[in-house]
Amino acid sequence: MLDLVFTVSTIVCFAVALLYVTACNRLKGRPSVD
Amino acid sequence: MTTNGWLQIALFFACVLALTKPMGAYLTQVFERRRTWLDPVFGPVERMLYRATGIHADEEMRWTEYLVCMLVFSAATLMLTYIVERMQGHLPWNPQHFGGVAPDLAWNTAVSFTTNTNWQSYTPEATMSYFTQMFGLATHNFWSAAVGLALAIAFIRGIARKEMRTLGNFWVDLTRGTLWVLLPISTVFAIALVAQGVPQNLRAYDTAKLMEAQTITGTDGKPTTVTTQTIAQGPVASQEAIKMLGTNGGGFFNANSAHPFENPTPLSNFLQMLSIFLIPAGLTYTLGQMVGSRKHGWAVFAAMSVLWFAGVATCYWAESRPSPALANVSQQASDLQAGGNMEGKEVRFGIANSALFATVTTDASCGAVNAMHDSFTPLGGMVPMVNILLGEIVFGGVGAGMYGMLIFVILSVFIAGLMVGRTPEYLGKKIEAYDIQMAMLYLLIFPLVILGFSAVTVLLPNMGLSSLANHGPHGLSEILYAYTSATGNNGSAFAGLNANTHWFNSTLGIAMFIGRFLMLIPMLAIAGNLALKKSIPATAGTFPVTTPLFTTLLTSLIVIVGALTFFPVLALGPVLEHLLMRAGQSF
Repeated sequence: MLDLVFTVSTIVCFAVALLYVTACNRLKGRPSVD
Repeated sequence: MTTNGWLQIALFFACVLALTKPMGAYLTQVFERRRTWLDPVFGPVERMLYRATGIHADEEMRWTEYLVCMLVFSAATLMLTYIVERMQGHLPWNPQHFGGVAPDLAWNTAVSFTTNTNWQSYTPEATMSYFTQMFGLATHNFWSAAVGLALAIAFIRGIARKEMRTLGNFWVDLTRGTLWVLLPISTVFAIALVAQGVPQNLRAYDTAKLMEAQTITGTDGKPTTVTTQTIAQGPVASQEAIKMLGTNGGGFFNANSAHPFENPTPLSNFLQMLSIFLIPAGLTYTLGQMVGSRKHGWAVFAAMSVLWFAGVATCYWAESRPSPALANVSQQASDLQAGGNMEGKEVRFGIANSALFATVTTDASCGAVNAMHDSFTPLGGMVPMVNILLGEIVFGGVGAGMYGMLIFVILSVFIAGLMVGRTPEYLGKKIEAYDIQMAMLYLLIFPLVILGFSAVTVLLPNMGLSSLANHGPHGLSEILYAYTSATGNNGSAFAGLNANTHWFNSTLGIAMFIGRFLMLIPMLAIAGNLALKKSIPATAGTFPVTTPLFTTLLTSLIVIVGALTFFPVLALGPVLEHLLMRAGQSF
C-alpha cells in the first residue's frame, strides 16, 4: 500500500514540476527580442 | 588557533586556486565538444551510447525541452533506486542478508540521492546491501552531479549566446559530463584513496574478538556483555571518490568521513576537501571563458573566496575558543592537546581541519562530514548552517553553486542599474522584468520551504519535537538544520534529531525535491530568456562586472539577502544558545 502511495507521490511531484515549467514559460509571453 | 592550522588552510586555498584554471579550461573543452586527450577512450563509448538510445547529438534543445528531459531522467532514475532499495533482499551482493528498505525510508533515500542531497536517515552499513550502495546510490552520485553540471553549462550558454532559442542538448551534456569529467577523475581519486587505506572489496563483514569484554546498555536499558565486534567494509573507495567529487556527501558508513575506513589519513582528508571544490571552482573559469570575459570569472571566484574565508575563519575561531563550561581546565593548544572544542572531532584531523571541512562541505552542497556539526560550539555550528542558508553559492555544488551564484550576479547587476537609474545590463544583455521575476521566484522558494517546514515541525509535539535529543535553542537548530540541509540539497546533519520517522522522511523528501527541481526551473527560464536577447555593446554607463567594486557588491548582496531572510530564526537558535552558553547553560 505504501509503495503505491510513494509511487503516486513521485508521479504527482514530477507532474507539478512539469506544470511549473509550463507556467514559467507562459509567464514570459512573447520572446523579448528587441 | 595555531600557525600550523592557518598554514593548512592557506595551503588548501592555494591548491584550489592553482587547479581552477586547468579544471575550468578542461570543462570548456568538454562542453564545447572540442578535442581532448580522452577522446580516443570515451569517443567510441559516447557514439555507441547515442546510437543505442537514439539520441541525435547535434540537435539542440530549448530551455523547456532541456528541463523536461532532465525531469524525465530524474523521475526514471528515482523510481529505479526506489525499486532497488525495496527489492534488495532478492538482489545479489548482499552478504549481510539485509531485507528490503522500508517504503518511507526508501523514498526519502531515492529522492535524496536523485537530488544530489544524500541526506541519510539510516545507518548505511546496517541497512544497504553492496548492490544498493553501488547500483542504487553510487550511480546517482554520478548522475545527479552530471545533471547539475549540465544545467550550469546550459545557464552559461544562455548568457554567452545571442539571439538563439536553444541551450544545448541535455543528453549530450549529461553523457560528456559523466564520461569526460566525473568518471576519470573519480577513478584516479578512488585509487589514491585505496593507497591511503580505504577498503574496496565485496566481502562479508569481518568479526573480531575483543581483547577485553565490554558491558554496554541496550536501548531497553538492560546491560549486555559484548565480546566481539563486527567490522563493516565493502566497495568504499569507489563510492567515496564520487561522493566528494560530485558534492554528494552520502557516506558508505554512518560516521561518514569521520570513519577511518572512509577517510583514514590527513592526506585523504585534504584530498577529499580539495575534490569538493575542484569542479565548482573550475566552473568560474569556464564561465569566464565561455562568456568571453575571463576577468568576470575571476571576479565571481573572488566573491566566493571572500565568503569562504569569512566562514572558515569564524568557524575555526569559534571552535578554538575555550569552553566556559570547563573554566577550571587548561584548554590552551599545546603539544599534548589541540585546545578548544574537541567534542565530536577526530583527533587525527584536529580543530583546523574539522572547521575547514565543515565550511567546505556546506559552502558546496556536499554534506559529507569529518566531525559532528551538532557538537560544534553554537557559533561554530552556525557557520555550516549559514553557508547552506546563503544558497550554497560559495563555489557550491557541482553546477548548482554556479547557477545559484549567477542568480545573485543578475540581481547585483539589477540593483546596480537601479542605483544609477539605467536599464541593467549583464555582459551585453538587458536584464528585464521577466528575468527578475524568475530570479525572485528562485530566491523565495528556498526560505519558504525551510522556514515553513521548520515552523510546522516545532508546532508538532508528537511528530516533530519528539524526535529531538536536545531541547531549547539547540533543538530548534537541529530542526532548522535538517530542513536547511534538505532544501539546500546538502545532506549533512546536526545529529541529535531522529529523522527516520514518517513525518521527517516524507517532509524532508518533499523539501529536497522542491529545493532541487522547483528552484532550477526558474533558473533555466532565465537562461532561455537571456539566450534570446541581442547583445548590446558596453558603454561608459555600463556597470562593469570585472572589478573589485562588482565583487564587493555581489558579496554584500548575498550577505544582506541571507541576513534579512534568516537572522530572526538564527537569533532564536544558535545566537541565543551562544548567549546562554556564556551564562553557563548548555543544551
